[in-house]
Amino acid sequence: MSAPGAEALPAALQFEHVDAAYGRFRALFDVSFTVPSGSVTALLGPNGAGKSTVARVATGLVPSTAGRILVSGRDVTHQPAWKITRLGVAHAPEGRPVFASLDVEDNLRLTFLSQLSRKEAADALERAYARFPRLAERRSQLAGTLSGGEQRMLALARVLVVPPRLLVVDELTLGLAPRMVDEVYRALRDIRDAGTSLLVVEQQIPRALELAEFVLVLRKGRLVQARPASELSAGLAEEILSVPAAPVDGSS
Amino acid sequence: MSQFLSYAIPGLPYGCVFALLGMGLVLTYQTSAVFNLAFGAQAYASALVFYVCVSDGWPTWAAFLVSVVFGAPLLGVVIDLGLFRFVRSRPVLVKLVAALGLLIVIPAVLQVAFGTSNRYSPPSLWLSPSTVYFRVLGDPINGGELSTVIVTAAVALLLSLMFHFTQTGLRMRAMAESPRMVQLAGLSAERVGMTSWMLSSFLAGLAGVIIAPVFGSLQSLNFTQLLVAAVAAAAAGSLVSLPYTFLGGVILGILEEVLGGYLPSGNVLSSGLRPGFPFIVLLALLLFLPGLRRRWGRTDDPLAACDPPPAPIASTMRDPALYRATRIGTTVFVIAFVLSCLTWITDNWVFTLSQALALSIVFLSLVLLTGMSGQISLCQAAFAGVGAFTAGQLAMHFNLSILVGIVAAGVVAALVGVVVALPALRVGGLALALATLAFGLLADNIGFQFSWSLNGDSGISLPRPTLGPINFSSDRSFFLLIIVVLAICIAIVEAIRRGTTGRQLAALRGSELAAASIGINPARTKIGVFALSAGLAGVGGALYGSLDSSVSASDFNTLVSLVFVVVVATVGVYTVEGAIEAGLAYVLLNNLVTSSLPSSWASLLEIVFGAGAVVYVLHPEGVIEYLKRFAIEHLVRGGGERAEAEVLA
Amino acid sequence: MTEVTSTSTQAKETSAADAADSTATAARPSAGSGRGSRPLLEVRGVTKRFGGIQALSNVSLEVAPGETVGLIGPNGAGKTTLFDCVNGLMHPDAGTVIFDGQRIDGMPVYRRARLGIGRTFQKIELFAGATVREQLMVAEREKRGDGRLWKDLLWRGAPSPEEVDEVDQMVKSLGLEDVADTPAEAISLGQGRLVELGRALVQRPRLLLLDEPSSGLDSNETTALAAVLTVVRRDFGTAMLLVEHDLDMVAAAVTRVYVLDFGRMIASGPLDDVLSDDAVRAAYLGQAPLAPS
Repeated sequence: MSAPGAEALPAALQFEHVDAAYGRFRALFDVSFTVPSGSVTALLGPNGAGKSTVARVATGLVPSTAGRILVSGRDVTHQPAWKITRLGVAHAPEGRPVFASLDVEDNLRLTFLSQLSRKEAADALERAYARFPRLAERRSQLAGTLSGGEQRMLALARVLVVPPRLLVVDELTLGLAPRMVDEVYRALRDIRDAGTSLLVVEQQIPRALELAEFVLVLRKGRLVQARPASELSAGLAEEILSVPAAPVDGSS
Repeated sequence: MSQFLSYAIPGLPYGCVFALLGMGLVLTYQTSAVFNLAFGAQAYASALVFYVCVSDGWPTWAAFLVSVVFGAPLLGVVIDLGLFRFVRSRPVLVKLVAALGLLIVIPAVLQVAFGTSNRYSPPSLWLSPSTVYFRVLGDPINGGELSTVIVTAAVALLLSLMFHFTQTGLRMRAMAESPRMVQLAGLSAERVGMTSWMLSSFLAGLAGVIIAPVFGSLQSLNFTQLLVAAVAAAAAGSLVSLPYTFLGGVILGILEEVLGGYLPSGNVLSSGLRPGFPFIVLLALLLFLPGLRRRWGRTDDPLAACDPPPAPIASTMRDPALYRATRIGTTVFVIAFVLSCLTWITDNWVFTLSQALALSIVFLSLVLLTGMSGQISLCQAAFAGVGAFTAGQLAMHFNLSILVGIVAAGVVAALVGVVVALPALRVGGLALALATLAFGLLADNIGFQFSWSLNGDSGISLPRPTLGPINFSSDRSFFLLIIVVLAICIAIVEAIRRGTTGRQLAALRGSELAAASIGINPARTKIGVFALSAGLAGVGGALYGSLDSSVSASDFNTLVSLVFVVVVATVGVYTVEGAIEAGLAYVLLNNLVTSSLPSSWASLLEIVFGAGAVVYVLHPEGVIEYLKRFAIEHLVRGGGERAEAEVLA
Repeated sequence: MTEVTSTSTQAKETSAADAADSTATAARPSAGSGRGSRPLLEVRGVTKRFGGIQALSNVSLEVAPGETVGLIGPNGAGKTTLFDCVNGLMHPDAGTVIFDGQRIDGMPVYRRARLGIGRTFQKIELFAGATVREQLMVAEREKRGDGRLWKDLLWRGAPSPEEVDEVDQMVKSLGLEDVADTPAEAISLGQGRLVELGRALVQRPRLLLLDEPSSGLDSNETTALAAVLTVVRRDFGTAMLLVEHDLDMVAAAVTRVYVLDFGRMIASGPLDDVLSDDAVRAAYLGQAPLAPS
């Protein structure tokens, strides 16, 4: 539905007429889009539009109630989350997705060891610490006692260090200090260059548009826009999201 | 000194028994986030199968293979598939109720399968208990003791190693916290979860077979009695540390034997010391071990937002017309019911219905405590017992009318409630559940045995009351009294729900952190409600006893408390109607089973109630509540599904 | 020490109860009630360790009545820990916390709340299962401090019409009318943050601790939040301590900021001055451009 897929590679992620619901509450209505292989797609929209639901459905955390979901051309519609993960899909959910009662190192080891050999996992651990020195300092601390931003770093380290085929990041920079936001975006660029496709849910629209090639806009559970990012300036994006264009300044 | 040692040395294997079960609790809690009160029942299952195989003439190794190596993990698989798979991302207390159901069902099923005959001197697995291998300072060490110590030490060592140094251990620990996060790491939560249950079930089986020879005969009650000591051992390890749990269990066993040795023998105090002592230790640990406070409030699944929001209570879904109709209908029904009971219904049935309504008052205390405050008490029957003996003793010794006695029953039970809750509420929901369990067992084994309380199994008598010229000795007049008291109790619970306290409780249930930060004093509010709930149970117990004209300790034992919780939770713990429906269901089913089925089916009732826990797991709002909502949605509204998109970011 | 604090809290409670009879809004002493230049909140040399980590070392700060002060710093600097020490979720290992001239470290959370310290949480803490209106109503009832079990038993625990009005007004001023009867689980994060704010505000706090209030909000919600905060400052005269990474929002709201890094206070002063400090830029901004002036 979105970008014209002229390439030979199958799309990294494809939604075909997907509905989803939480019990009695319906959250997605007939959502169709494509994340082309090797590209970065930003998913924008106001809170409550269903962005996180798209991310959760893509990685199997929430089941779809209708439609088809394809990852690299394979139908994964009713697959459990762990099988989708094994296809090379990584998901950094919103909030603080860490094992609070495990220490930082065990948090990372759990992910790395399930995908890599012991030696590779040890390498990955070193790279994670190199990328996030803060985590190295706290490696034997329980993740639950980290600050909110540090927990966010830990969640990102889990998915950024070993480049997956498709990375889904939800509320990427939530609660991160400006310096960390820069570093996270640098890391995203690196893994994009390494060949990873990305689906990025982000509140900071200008930031998202710097990186993204395609933009999806959700509102009230429906997809209302799908177009190349080049056609969408930050101003236009905010307009689509029905937001006053002027940022809050000191005088207001 | 040598006398001290002669008491202490037999305490070591005894303590190992506590440690073994305690480590089982820690293991299950750390791998499944279930505080598995059914662990003892699982152990009993393997011990029983082992006993039956050996007495059928099987060789020991074959019996061990069937009962422990294959049987126990199989039981773990069944438990996982049938029950705990559905509660993985539910709060700790929901899982606790599921485990309670299991604790009730397993012995009942075994009773149906293997009969009720007495099984004396359980066989030993490994070293013979009748052989003395060596002596320590003159104390003979027999094979049973030796094998208990060796196996427990080996289990402590191997489990600790597995837990902290293997990938399987890491995965299981992660699983306890968030199955969804485990999935995102590329691991099958189903597989990891099942492995955890197989392992902990195997440990339970091993423990059961090793422990069984300690007892003279094989009874499920023995394993339940060990629970408090095991919980105390697990508490010593803060529910995390296997080595400390091991140490805690051993020390507890030794202390218990030493105290037992020095105290004079032959009176109630020393014979009740065994179940009583771990209770005191547990309370002390709750009070003085700061680490516990952090551990027991397990953090929620960080991906809980993937779950659908809880279903609304049926009464909030009715539109005004339906609401009015229901209200009028209910009023007419209640009046017709009371009038019928006073006129044409037979005496037998009036008595049965009175029992049900008296129990409803006890169950109402659980609606207040569990439904509104989110706490679980496993000793409501004990509070009912306290109420019953207060009223009875006052009538006996001071010739006080039972009517005054009922009020006194409520007050005394409430005061006892404060004493029980005070240390536990500082820690959190699970701690309260365990402290109340311990208190219940203490009341059973010591408190209710004294002649000044319930006088053990011989019981005490409670006359029917008189009020001036009005005599409540006939069943019908007493029925009327029960209706009046029930109405007052309902008014109390509703007043709290609608008043400030109800709001405070709702806030505390939602987030204690936020509640405190708007000025709610969590401890005071919760203790107040716990005391009131104990008081209601006391009033209900006094009425129930007065209806029967006599009560004994067995009417209010711990098993009864556990069944109470399961029944009310299953039927509906969030509404006042739920308590009454639970009371009716409990008494009517009980009557049906005892009066119209052969006695070999007696355990059917427990199986039904236990199975109720499975229903609870699927519908925590309660069966009746679920049916009401279903009816409103599908019959009245015609299957209307609310299509709302603006839900959950 | 404890004796002093307990008697004065009692006095507070009785005065609150008395005031409840007269008007709803006057239940708490109004902010900045002419006590000269004495700071409302004074943190002196607070130190907090957990495990081997020094979360806060010798941190001091002051907030004057009615003043809005920012607290910024990199992740893990100890900002939330400092909030916890002020609000009572944690007790400092050393140092003192003084509120309105009264030493409060050592007091439990709920008593500090009754003194007039409100807070919102970084990881949102709503009363699960309760509707938006109910969340505010609990706080409103609690403001009087006169909720007693025995009053409920006499059926005197229901909210008064004034209280219902008060809550309705708060719902309106936060723009939450549409979700007023929606349970907490079914509202968006932004609405949830507004509910938290409203829950604190109905109690008319004298000091409000805001922990990353705009985190996770979309731009609509951020604008709404900023507007509410402006109103709060202007109409209620509430003093605020604001932890926030959105520097635009900080710039719009505060008179001055403190900067925490590794548990130490490394700078304080007007935002622009602080942001041009080399140490701050290295620790917090990295290579980000200077904040808009």
